[in-house]
Formats: sequence, structure tokens, C-alpha cells
Amino acid sequence: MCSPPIPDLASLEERILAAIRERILEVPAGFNAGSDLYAAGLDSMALMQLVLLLEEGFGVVVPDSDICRANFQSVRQLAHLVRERLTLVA
Amino acid sequence: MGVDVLVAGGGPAGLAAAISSARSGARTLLVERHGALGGMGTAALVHSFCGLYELAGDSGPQWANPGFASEFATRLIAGGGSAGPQRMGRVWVLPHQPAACAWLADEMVGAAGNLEMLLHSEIIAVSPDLTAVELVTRGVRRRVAARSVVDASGDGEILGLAGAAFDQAPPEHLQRPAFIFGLQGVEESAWQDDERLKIAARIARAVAGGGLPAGALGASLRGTGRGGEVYVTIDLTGPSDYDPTRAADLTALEVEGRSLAWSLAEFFRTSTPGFSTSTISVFPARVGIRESRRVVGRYRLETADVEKGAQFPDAVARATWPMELRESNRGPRLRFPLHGQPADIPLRSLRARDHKTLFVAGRCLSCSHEAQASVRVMGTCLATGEAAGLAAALQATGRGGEASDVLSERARIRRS
Repeated sequence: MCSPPIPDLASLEERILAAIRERILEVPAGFNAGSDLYAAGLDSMALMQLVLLLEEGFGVVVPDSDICRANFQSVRQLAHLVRERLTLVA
Repeated sequence: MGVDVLVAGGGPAGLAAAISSARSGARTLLVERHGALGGMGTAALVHSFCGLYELAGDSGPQWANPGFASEFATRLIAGGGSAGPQRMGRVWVLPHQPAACAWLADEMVGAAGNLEMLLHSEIIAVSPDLTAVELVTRGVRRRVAARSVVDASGDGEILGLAGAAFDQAPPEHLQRPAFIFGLQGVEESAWQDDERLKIAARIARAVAGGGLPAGALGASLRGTGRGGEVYVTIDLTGPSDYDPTRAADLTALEVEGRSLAWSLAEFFRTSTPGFSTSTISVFPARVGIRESRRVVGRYRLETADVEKGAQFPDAVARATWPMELRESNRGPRLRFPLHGQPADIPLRSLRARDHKTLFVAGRCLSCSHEAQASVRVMGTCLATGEAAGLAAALQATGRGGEASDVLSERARIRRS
């Protein structure tokens, strides 16, 4: 059985950003993959939603060791995290 | 008995209104249903004052509403009830000890003069012209004549009793209520920095895996720095036709909150490092309500006003907290003003449209549902309470009552 191709970073960023916009945070105009999620209101409540979104939406498991402030700083960081987990699974 | 000003509700808005009214020289009665003042900041264990400061900039925290709000906060810190403001992204908050809020309010009421406080008292009736209010305490009724009334009850109970016009958002849009409880015996390192985020992720996974009820999703922890004490906040969903003025719904919320708290406490104890000896130290006296009735006033503070940072000639307070929408239990959605400019709150928004002697302060002032998500916070309630209390006192004692009168009276009291 073949694994599906691993999406590139740009498309991951796009999908994560869209999901955050739609389901988690009311982000300001001009918010992009490099913007600070904490400044946009990411707190521990929103982070729970985000973990579920990544795990259910992208089929990855984010281990405890990867749950840290730096990894959730921006959509770009999250895309890296997801791609790394997908690569490990593949 | 008769008074110049009767204040319904002793939360941040009501205590500010009553103390300010009394300081202005009006004979004032403060009526509170619980055994302590402080409202949500005491009874519901809300443990931070939001809206006290300007949006965070390059300099340190700046008072949004110098006056009663800054005085209360300064004394809270001086009395050991708060370690001082903390920056959280674009905002400053003042974490506080709920017990200190009740203590400080007692001290300030005691020093005010002209002010009687009746705890354990509910308002059960008002005369049609609002010149008389009936209270009840444990089956004993008492009638009080009042020249002006300030509804600082949070739920607009005077509006309800007087048949005054009010708005209330539909159930699916009402801000969700919060259940806050205390844990003790938590190791200091267990909830700090990345550990808090790891706990959040574990709760999310436990909910997804069926190990915790769905309602636990969104639980957040804040350590107090006081001997292994942590507050846990859970946003509740409530019934689909949720109405915060319906007894059955409030009952269901209390039961749901305690049940979730018990499950979470067990989860923390058995599966979270640093929590193995933790135990529930305190349940709130009541669930924390964020939104219910909003008065139809002489001006409705609109969503666009808060977004644009509108200014008004009759401004008596400022709303510096972002619109913090909590229409689901999935966490807050914050909407900041477009240009970082806070909105004025006009005195007209603190006056009922249809009753000349009725003032409204706190979370039930005249505003849109979204604007309420900004003005409802306790720091702003202190400021709207002060303004409504002064306006009511000035009007009741024949000394004017326009916004300019309120501002000069506030300045006079600050100087004295």
C-alpha cells in the first residue's frame, strides 16, 4: 500500500491558516503564515482546538515533546511540525 | 426608609456606583444577594480584572479609566490581593485573589459614609414609576423609596421587574457562561510555560478518546502563585435554548460545571505530572454569567463604535478590552479595534430610554451583542459603575447629572 504524497510546506501553511481562520481565531487583516498566533489570541483553550485540528485534519500525532510554545508560534512553525510528523509516518 | 440612590447588585459595577454615589454626598443603599461584594470577581471566582488598562504598547501598563477603577486596582495591589498587572499579548490584565476583592469592597463601603449595604437581599418588586423598591431577605419584605436607581445587577433585574425595554441575544449567540474552580496541592512546575500547553493537548486528546466528557474541552488553567493553587476555567455549553435568566438553566449550568470539574480533577490527579496530590479546594458560589439582558438606552453603543474607537461628547468611560466573543465553548475569538483606539462609553448608554431615574452600569448597559463582549469585563464595569453612580447621585440631589457634571464631580472626589 502506498502512502499519499506528503504535501509541500506552502500548501500545508495554506490549509492550516484557512482552518485557523474558520474554526479557531478571529485573525486581523494581513495575518499570514509568519504572524504571531499568540498575539492573535491563541491561548490554551484555542490550543486544544488546534491540536485536535492537526491530529484529526492531517492524520498526525503531535507527541507531548513537540507541544511547546515555539512550535505553536506561527502557522509556518505548525506546517513544519506537521510535515515532520507526516515524513516520520511515511 | 428612603434613599437618594438605590444600587441593585454589588459586583464591580455596583460597588463602584454605590461608593461613588455616597462619596458624592447622596444617601445610598447597596443591595446584594450574596454574602459578599465583588460579583463575578468574588462569587464566580473570576480571578483577573480585564479592561483596567490601555491596549499594550511600548510603555508599561497605562490606566484606561483613572478614577474609581484605578483606585480600586491600586488598593487591591497594596492590600496584597494582587501581585500587579501581567501582559498577555496585546492586553494587560490584573490577576487578583477573589477573597481580596470582597475584603477591599467591604473596607471601601465602610469608609464611604452615607452608604448602607444590605447583603443577603434580593429585589423582588419595583413600583411602576421606580420610586419604590421592595427587597426580601429570608421571607421578610422591606420597602425602600429611592429617587434614582442604578441597575448593576448584571442581568438587568430592575429592567425585568420594571418592564423596561431590553435586548437579549438569541441563545446560540449569548456568550457562554464559565465555571471556575480551585485546585490545591499542585506542584509549582506542573502548570508553568510549556507544561500548560501540554496539559491542554492532553485534555484535548482525552476528550477525543472518550476519557473526558466533551464539555471538558476548553478547560484552561492559571496558577496563582499562592501555595500550589491553580484555577481551572471551563466554558459551559448549556441547553440549546439557553437563557441566563431562567432558573432551570442556571441550575443545569451549576450541576454541569461541578460534574465537569470533578471529572477534570480526577483526570489531573491520575494522569498529569505534578498533580498527583492535587484536590479541589473551592467551588464557586455561582456560575459566571457573561451576558444576558442589555438595556435599551438613550444611545446603543454599536459594534462599529468599538471597532472604530468612536468618540462621544458625553463620554464618561472608555472600553479598552477587545471584543472577546465566546459564543461557543471552543475558546475566545478576540476582535481588536481597527486602529488600536479604544471607544468612549457615552452617559446615554448608561441611561434607560424609558425611565428618567433609571441608570444601568456594568455588563447590561446599552450596547450591541458584540460591543457587550468588550464592555462587560470587570475593569470597565468599575468605570461604568462609577459614572452611573455619580450621575444618579447628582440627579437625585438636584445637582445636574449631565456628562460634564459627572466628570467634574469625579475630579472633585479625586482631589478630596
